[in-house]
Amino acid sequence: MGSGQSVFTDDELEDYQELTYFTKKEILNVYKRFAALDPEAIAANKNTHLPQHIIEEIPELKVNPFRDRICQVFSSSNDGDLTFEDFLDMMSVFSENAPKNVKVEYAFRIYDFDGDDLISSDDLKQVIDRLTGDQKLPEEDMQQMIENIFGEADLDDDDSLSFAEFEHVISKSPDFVNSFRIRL
Amino acid sequence: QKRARWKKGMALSWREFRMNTTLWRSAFKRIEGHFGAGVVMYFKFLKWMFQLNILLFLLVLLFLVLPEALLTDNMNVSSSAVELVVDFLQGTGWMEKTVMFYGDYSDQTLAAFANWNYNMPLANIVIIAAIFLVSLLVMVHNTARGFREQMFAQDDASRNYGNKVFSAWDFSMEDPKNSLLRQKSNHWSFISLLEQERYLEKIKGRTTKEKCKLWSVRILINFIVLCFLGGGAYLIYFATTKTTESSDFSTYSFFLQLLIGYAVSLTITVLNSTLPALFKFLVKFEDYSAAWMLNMTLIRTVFLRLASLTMLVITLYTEITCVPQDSCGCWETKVGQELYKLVITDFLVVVGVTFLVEFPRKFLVTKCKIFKMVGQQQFDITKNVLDLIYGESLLWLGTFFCPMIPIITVIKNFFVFYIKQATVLVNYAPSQVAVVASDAESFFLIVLLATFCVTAIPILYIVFRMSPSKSCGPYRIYDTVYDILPIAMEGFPPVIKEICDWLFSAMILIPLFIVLCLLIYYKGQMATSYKEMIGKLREQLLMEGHDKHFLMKQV
Repeated sequence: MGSGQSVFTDDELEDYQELTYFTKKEILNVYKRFAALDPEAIAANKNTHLPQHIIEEIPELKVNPFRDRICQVFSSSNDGDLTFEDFLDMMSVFSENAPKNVKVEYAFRIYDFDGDDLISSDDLKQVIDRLTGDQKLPEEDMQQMIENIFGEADLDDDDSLSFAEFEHVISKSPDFVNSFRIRL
Repeated sequence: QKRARWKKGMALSWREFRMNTTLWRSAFKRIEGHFGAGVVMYFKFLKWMFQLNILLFLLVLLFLVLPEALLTDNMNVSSSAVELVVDFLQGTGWMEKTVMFYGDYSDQTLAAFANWNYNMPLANIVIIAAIFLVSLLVMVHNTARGFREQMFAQDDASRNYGNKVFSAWDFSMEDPKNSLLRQKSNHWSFISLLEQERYLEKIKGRTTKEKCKLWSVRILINFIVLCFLGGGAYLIYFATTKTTESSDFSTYSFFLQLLIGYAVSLTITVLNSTLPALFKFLVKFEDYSAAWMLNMTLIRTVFLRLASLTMLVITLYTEITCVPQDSCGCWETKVGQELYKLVITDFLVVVGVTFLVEFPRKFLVTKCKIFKMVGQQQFDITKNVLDLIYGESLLWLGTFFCPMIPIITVIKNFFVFYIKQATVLVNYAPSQVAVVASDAESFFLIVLLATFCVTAIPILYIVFRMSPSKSCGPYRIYDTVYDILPIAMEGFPPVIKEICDWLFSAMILIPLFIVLCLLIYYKGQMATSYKEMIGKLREQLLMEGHDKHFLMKQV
């Protein structure tokens, strides 16, 4: 802990604590995880950008089918590279203490592959494909799935989910909060 | 503003404190990383129960066991080593004469310090009542929370596609092998979701003839299940009467003595572990939907467990009470001994199955090619949670007869956690079928609540109606256990006495009961009307959407 303490001033820690859902101790833990990804680069400059493929080495991300999306959504430079502050932001959103509405917002952006602020049927197809991995759903079943999701959630019948519609669907999904979480 | 900041700081440090002191935190993370949220639910349930039991354990320890042990002196342990062990496992001999069992508790008001007296019989009944009340409160609190979450969920959670898709990935997963399995299980669950939809379509299209055939099969199977339950009950009756009939086994060898002593608990345990497998097999012919199949098996299993316990208590009671009351032994202690043995057997089965079946099986499956076909074992969450609930029902039923049971249960829970954690991480492969945590959690709590009600009935009956043994226990001078209350109240100041009289009178209890029922009814009505409201609003939203489209086209 001693080495971590000296990295940030008290004011910085105080600010981070204000801006995230973490305590100071947890923030230092996040930093430890971040620094462990590329100790040399971080030692040289703690505000450096770590490239996407290094961030994806985190065990939870490594197995996550949406890892590239997660990196892109949290990247302040929009190219998938994360600074420590981006990383802290990410871990904070995934933490247990982050409220549901914050999680929903980021989930929407992760699942919105083309970034048009709508989850279209193509987006949904990608989501389902990534969720099932190597074993693809037959085309017919895939269409049925997408149709059912829209039937349940697409309230204005435009064949895509707006953020409000997505939020509405999630409000009826009791498992969402438990699954959208990375324990520190 | 400073104040708000200070408040936030306090909240944060409280959270930090809690995080550092939260029990088994890292274990949860490890298990979750390997198996996802479903299996963790079992461990959370276990932890929750452990905490509840600690509370009950403290109640019993502070107010029953310690006073009795400190204020009376009647320890005389003088037996050979073999007898010591046998007696320990069976709760007989020297154990019978300790604070372990009902029979040993004093019927006197014990002199404590100077002017302080401790009314043992009164303390006993108050603590038993407190145990039931505390358990009930904790359960109701949790169930209510579960319901509140479920209210937001759709009526039929199994057909909730949004939930299935957008909550399908457990972001905390970190094990590559497991994540591949999770993708497989996602695939499977999407397909089964669509299957289910088709199944519902199929039900609608069933002809009358098919319906008739199906119903006769269902009735037949229910009849078979009942037969098995009856047979099980008879087996318990048989074992109990046989072992209580001839009471002199001292000429037998050590092992045989133990076997006879444990005959009843072994019978019950064997029944509890074999019949559910049979139920699981039978339910396949009934052509229920997947969720109902699970529920039916569960309901039958729970019924079996409760029936076997009730059967045991009834048999013991009819066996032991005899006409001249003083000539026979202390039936409460006998019941206590049987329940004590059940608790011990329950624990030994967990240990035995883990070390004699699961570890060797894992070893064989991974090391020998021939056994590969058997495949790796998967963690059956429902079965394990039911085992926990069974342990808890033993506690509720047993504390009156054997006040040490909460203490044993706490120790049991503690070890079971570590044993299960070890076996889950080492022996089990992640399940192919992902369990929906939210559904199951509230369902388990409801099963627990039902179990609680069923175990409360015999205890209430004993307290209010049955006559306690005349030769032992805190209530030997009373006709029923309940009689202690009016008598003990004599000693209180008149004001308190009057208040108690008033509280326990029918004048108050019956209206209170009616008001409670009305309240529940009212709340239920409110809930349904909200549901209807949600439906209406949803329809309206749809209409708005269509309107918008229409207008857009016009433009």
